[in-house]
Order: sequence, then C-alpha cells, then structure tokens
Amino acid sequence: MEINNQSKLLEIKDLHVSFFTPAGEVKAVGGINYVLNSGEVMGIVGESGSGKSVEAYAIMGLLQSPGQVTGGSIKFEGRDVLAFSSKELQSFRGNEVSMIFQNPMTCLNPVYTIGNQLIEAVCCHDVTPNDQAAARAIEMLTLVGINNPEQRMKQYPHELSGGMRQRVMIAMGLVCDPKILIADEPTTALDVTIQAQIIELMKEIQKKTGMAIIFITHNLGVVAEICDKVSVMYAGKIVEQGCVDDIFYRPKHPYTLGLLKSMPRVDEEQHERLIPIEGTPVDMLNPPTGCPFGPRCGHCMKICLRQEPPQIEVGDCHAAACWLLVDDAKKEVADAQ
Amino acid sequence: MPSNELLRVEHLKKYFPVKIGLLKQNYVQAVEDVNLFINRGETLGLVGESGCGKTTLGRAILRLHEPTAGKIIYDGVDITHVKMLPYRRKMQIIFQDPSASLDPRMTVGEIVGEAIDIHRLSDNKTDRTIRVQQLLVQVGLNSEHSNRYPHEFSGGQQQRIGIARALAVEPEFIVCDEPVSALDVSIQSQIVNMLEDMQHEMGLTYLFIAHDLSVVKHISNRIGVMYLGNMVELGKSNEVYRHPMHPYTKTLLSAVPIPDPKVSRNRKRIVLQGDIPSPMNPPSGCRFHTRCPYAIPRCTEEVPAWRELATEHYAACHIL
Repeated sequence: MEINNQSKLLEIKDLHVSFFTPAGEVKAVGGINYVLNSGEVMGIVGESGSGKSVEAYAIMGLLQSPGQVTGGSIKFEGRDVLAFSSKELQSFRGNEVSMIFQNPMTCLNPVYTIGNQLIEAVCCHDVTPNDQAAARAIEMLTLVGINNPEQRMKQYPHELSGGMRQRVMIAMGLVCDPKILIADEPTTALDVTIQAQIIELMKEIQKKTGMAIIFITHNLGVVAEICDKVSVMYAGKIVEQGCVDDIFYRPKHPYTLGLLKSMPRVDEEQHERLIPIEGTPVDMLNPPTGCPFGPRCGHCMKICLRQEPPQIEVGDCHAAACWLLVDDAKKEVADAQ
Repeated sequence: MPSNELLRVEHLKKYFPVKIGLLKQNYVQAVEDVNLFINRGETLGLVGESGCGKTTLGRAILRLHEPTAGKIIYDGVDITHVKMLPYRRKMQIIFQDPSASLDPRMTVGEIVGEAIDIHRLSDNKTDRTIRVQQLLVQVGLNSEHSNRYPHEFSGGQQQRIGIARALAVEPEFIVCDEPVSALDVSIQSQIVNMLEDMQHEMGLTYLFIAHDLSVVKHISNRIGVMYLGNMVELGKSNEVYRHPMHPYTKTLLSAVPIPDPKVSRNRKRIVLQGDIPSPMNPPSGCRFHTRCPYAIPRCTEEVPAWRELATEHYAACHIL
C-alpha cells in the first residue's frame, strides 16, 4: 500500500459537483479531469465562482449540503475517495491530504491555545502520548519559522498576527505528514511582504518534505512563483491546463490569454493600456449553452454558442478546450467566409 | 509654488484615541507627519501594507476624519477648518467595497441622484432623471438600471454605480480608495481603463490608494510609499520603480509577484523578517528600523528627515 507510485497520486475524472439551491441546480464543477503526481505543485487559477474551491472541498469530502458530487471519480493512490466511509475519510484527511484555508482567523478556534489545537490534530490521527504530540507540534512550529515555539504554544490565535496565524495553519496541515497539501488562497488575505514570506516558506517545505501541493489562487503572479503546472478554470470547467511555461508563454485558450493581458505588471517599461476581458462573469444559475466563455470571447464563432468544445491536446501535457483549436471548426469558419 | 498645484498637505497627523482600562488613554498614530502635493490632472498613487495609514490619509484629506494636526490646502485655500459642504462638490471619494458603500434600500437612481439633490444641481425632476441616466451610461451601465437595487448587480457593476455617484457632482478631485481590490482580475482592468478614460475626458485629479503595487504603478504618474503612518518615499512612478531609494520600497517591490515564471525564477528577493509593529506603540527613531536589513544605530534614535534626494524624488532614510 505504501509504495509510492511515482506517477498518479491523485486522479480526478469527470468530476461534477452541484448545489441544489431553492433557485435551481448550480453546477459549480462541470466535469473536470486532472492527474497530480507525487511531489508536484499544481496551481488552480480562476475567478471567484469558477469552482476552484468547491473542487478542493470535494476531494476532502468537506462538501456541505446542498452541495453534492453528482458524477465522476476521485482516486487517491488507486482508492476511490468518494466511496470512503466517514471513518476512512477521517484518517484520509490529515494523514494523506490536508488543507489550509484563506482566512486563518476564522479557521483557528479562538478559545483554545495554538498548542492545544496542534496537539489535538496529532492525537486525532495517531495514538500518541500527549508529551510526544507536544514535541511534534513544537517541531512543526519551528519548521514553519515561528520563533519561541514553546511560548507560542501557550498563546491564543488573537495574540498572533495574520502571517503568524497562516504559519500556524500550515504547521497544523503538515503535522501528520500528508502526501498532498491543498492550499486554498493561502496568501490572499495577507500583505505582499507577508505573502512573499509564506510563499518562500511553502517552497522550502515542499523541497524538504517532497509533498505535492494543490495551490488554489486567483493571482497569476503567485502561480508563476511556485507552481510546476497550472489548470485554468472558468465557470466550473478547466479551460486550459499545462506546465507553467506553456500557460504563461504559449497560452492557447482566449480566456487564459485575456487574463494575462488584463493584468498590469509592475515591471512594465512604458504605460500600456490594459486589454480587459469584456462582459461580466457567468451567472452559474443560467450558464450559457456551448462554451461558457463564448459570450465574452473575442473570437466567438457560431459553433461556440451551440456546442461545448472538447479538450484538445496541443502539446506535451498541454491541453485546452476551445473550438479554435479544432480543425473541423476552422474549416467551417473558412467555408462560411 | 507652481500654479497647477491642486492640493497640498503639510505635516498632516491623525491620531485615534484608544482607552486602555479605566483611566489610561493611548493613541493609534495612524498618520504621522505626512507632506505631499498633487498637481491638476495627475494621479498620485499611495501604496503600503494594511494598517500603514493610507486610507486614513485619504479620508483625512477629505476631512471624513478630522486631522489631529497639520494643514490641507486645496486650490490655494486652507480647508483644514472650513465648512466642507461647498468643497464636497469638488472632492469626492470612491470606496473599496462597493456592496457595503451603497445603501441596499435605495434604488440606483436615488443613490446617484442624492448628491444632485444635496447640491441643488438640477432645476426640475426631468432634468435630474436625464442627468442620472447620462451618468449611468457614462460608467458603462444601462439607463434602465436606475430603478433597480444594488444587490441586483455584480461586484464590477456595483463599483460602476459608486463611480457614477462620485461623478454626479462633477468633481475635480477624486480619492479612489482601493477601488479595484475587491474585484476579479478580468473586471479590474475594465474599471482601471474606465478611470483612465474619465481622467482624460474630464481632467480629473486622482489620489489612488491601493495595496497592489502593479495596479498603482500602472495608473499613477507619481507614487508615495507609506509605512506605519509615515510617508517613506515619493517620486515619479517610473523613478520609484527603477531606482527605489528607501529600503522598504525595495523590499516591497521585490515582494510583488510577477506573472512571468522565467523572471520570478531568476530574481533575487529581499524577504522581510517579522511583522509590522503596532501603530499604538511605534518603534523609536525610524519606524522601519525593526525590520530594516540596513539599519544602523542612528536609526533607532533619530527620526529621519524628509529630503529631496533627486529631482522630485523624496525619501526619509538615514543611510541615503
């Protein structure tokens, strides 16, 4: 069981997640596929409402009603995560996969000390005597760069700054040696200088422990810093995925291209006008038929509004879902002209 | 004094009182001795981390917070102690969180029209309705939207309503307080472009406050960098970016993630140790000395002077 199959730590196939709200079914995630290998750092980029967090919650089995996985499979080292019993799920979370969240203040319990919460995390997953668990907790706090860990163990979350709290969250995520760490916008609530600290820390820990990271963010700059490969999500679908250089230097999907062009860069030499993506984000209650990005796309064709585009391989592990990449569709356009 | 100067701030201070226990009174020194000027038609960007006082400074300039000390001179007139109503027509603000700054029980037409009523800018009802509709079209909304409520709009559209409200009185000067931070990347650029277009068309002057250095650099002619209530550096935006002087500006610039994997792999980063100290109990001398990699003994004792070190490039640091 413990043999680490170098390829495929986590495999997600055609995953669908829906929320059954009074206003109707919201298909938050509509059929996504990806493979995460051990030791890889994968970024998931997308705007708010694109389904990037929901998909992570589904992996962790943390979806709450009215959310439900409606199709597809999640396999961790060949085992079906969706078929786990609640007991199996409990040992899966923490030991195999753990997660850190965007806002560290709301994720730490304000009435328990840091030490208390870290020790609880250890004892939940391992039958360890309290003093050993405490030693483990202190070791983790040292790993995430907190000075005076013994002192900090006795402090409450409100006594720490935002960056410190996020370090504690990371320590808590790592305390059981998971194989995958899912980081859901871990730096979004932090200032740039603190963000830089946390990113450097995560890179360092990743190198030391060799775990895989799924890094969910809306900030393409952060992705460029830390990720090996990237999936770009729009309206619950992965519109493009590939290694980080493919996405930044050879983007194939108009949405990826639009995102890259619409961001001002601090190193731009001359003032260039930004090229925004026109229109408004998709209303997930009434998603458009065909390609979800169609109504905002500058290259939209007739077929885009009728039929959903297939994933097209455009290079070595680089794929995009766009009709522009399909030869038949190109022909149709040529014929029409 | 150059004649095209619109706003000048001299030695501005803003302290907020905090009660500790029953008798003890302490102050949060949110803005400490800030000097700046803004020329007509220009954009001055203000950057800094949360809690550095940039929003407080913006609001103190509009006297939404009464300044504790210092002077605000608008168009040659000292407005630090005058009645603000006539100046509210000239100076407006766009807030960060569009959903929190629009009254949920007022229609868009009422929100935008309220300022027109207060300043008596229209003679009759039809005139007012036409003006509101014009404003909505101007910010990229539909004139029929005036009968709807704020919750019916997306974040980007709500921010457009906030901008229409600020424009309703035909101001000269707008404080943009993090107008795009709450928006998605693809919407951010729409709003940034719109603000730029409005500036060209109407000759507006902006004080643009944001924590995102790339956005500020993009939109501003000059940039001011703040740390813990102090202005530490101020200069032309390209100058500040190419030749940052203050150690804090250098670290801030190196912390900004650049969406280019090759660049970010190769660049050297100065990672600051520690966190921002509390503004209730700021460090002595230079407020940055506790985190500064170049600090010398003098930094802990003496407050560095605000000096012009190159043409129109100011900084406050002992080692320069």
